[in-house]
Amino acid sequence: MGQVIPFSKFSSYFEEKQKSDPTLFQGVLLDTNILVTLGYEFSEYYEDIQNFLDDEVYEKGLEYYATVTTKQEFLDFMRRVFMTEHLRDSVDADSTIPLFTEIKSTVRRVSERLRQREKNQGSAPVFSDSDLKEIKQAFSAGPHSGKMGWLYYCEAWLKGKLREEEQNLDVLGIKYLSEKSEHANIIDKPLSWSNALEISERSCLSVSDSMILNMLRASKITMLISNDFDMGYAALAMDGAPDVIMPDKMAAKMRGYHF
Amino acid sequence: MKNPFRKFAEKSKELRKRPPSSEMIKKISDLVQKEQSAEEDILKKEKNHRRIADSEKNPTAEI
Repeated sequence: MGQVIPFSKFSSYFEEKQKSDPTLFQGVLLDTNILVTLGYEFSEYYEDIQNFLDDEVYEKGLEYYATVTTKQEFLDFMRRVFMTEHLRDSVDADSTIPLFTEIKSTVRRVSERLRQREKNQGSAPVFSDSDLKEIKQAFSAGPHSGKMGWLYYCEAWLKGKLREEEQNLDVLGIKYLSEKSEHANIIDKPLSWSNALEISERSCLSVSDSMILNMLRASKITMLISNDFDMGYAALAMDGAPDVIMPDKMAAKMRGYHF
Repeated sequence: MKNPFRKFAEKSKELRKRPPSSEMIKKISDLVQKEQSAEEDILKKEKNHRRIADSEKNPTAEI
């Protein structure tokens, strides 16, 4: 079974780990939610994570790794952030960009639904893909509002930004792991799809998260930084799982789980 | 070494807050204006059709 280590205990944990294994691989894997939190300061863990990176990971000279799925998921999240913020701004009275009247009422309705999710479930203030689909569909519903409208707004709010966000990510020096990447030598065991599915089946972890744990199990990296309860739970419940390093508040939620 | 993630968050925020180009604002304003006047034309035509249909039903109404 893996362990869940709170940020505040990382230093002593790492020291012990290195003592017992002097050849310990000097790298950590970043979960998607860590990148999302760092790129989008909405999360309550934002400062904790930044401080942890400053004080521990950078201090110890550890290298950052992520899977290619992580990059894809991060950019997908940012796509929704860009559209949400611009759409919500566009219904304000002082908006510089006009919006069709019918579309305004759809954006207001979907926005109100999101506000309820924020209030009741603590969701991030970001439209889901089904919210965005509802708004997109409103553009072609009227006789004249037409599909071109949506494409123009995408051009105004999104064009070039995903590419720039990717470049923004690239300068961080994260090494992306895949069997075909230049860092494939870190993967020292065969990567099997059926293993990823087994990980998912064990604790109902999403398949994309299972792929991250599967990659860790097949690689020399033994530590994952995450702020996802599901990831901590899966690591605690799984044989041969890596250790998951989490913000203290999140790690505290895992205390009662012993498998 | 300084943690580059601090800068990452700033750059990401700058990207989110960046307004659309004036060229795109104009393109969208023109489209919205065009669509709205097309819609107004349709409403006018429909009103006109209704008026003609009403007067055909009741030819003495306007006298």
